[in-house]
Amino acid sequence: MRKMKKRYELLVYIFITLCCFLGLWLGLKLIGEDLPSGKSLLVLILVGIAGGIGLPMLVSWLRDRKRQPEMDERTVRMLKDYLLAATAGVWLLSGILLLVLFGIGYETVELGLIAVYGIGIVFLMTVGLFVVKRL
Amino acid sequence: MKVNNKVREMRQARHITQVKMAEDLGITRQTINAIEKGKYNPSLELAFRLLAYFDVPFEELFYIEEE
Repeated sequence: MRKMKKRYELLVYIFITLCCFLGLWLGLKLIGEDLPSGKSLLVLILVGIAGGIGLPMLVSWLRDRKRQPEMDERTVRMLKDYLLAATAGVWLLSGILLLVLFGIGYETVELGLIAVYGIGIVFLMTVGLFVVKRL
Repeated sequence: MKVNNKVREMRQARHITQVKMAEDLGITRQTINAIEKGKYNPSLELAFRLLAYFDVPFEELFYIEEE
């Protein structure tokens, strides 16, 4: 079972790397010439991969050396329950927020505000994930 | 109906710590604690691993408590 999990972990990292490249391609498409190109772009990609993929892999490898695992079936179940509840909560709160905003007279929302709201939610949910993992 | 267990009694009778048991079974100490307190019912796989660990039949480790 552990071997299977390792295989899945590798697949997840490959998927994340592909998503990074997709994000980079999208960024280049959207912003275009403002982004650095050539050698500096390559350095940025390498630093990004090392920081985003290499560091978590290193941390995971160091944790594997400890005999007691960081996560088990109960942790996974709690994280699933938390994510389900948090997602439902976010949907509900976002709906209420939209209704309230509409009720007090707002008819349009700036894209930047939605981005800030989204980042805030992702940040809070990530913090919550770490808290639930420790329970 | 509630599933109860005698994991704590079995563990203490064998003088095994929660940390040692967690390491041997490849789970976290918090999970052992939750199972012992009846806050978490282990999966069938973990239940079988517990049975093999203590080398006891199912009915000696788990029982149903009628409410």
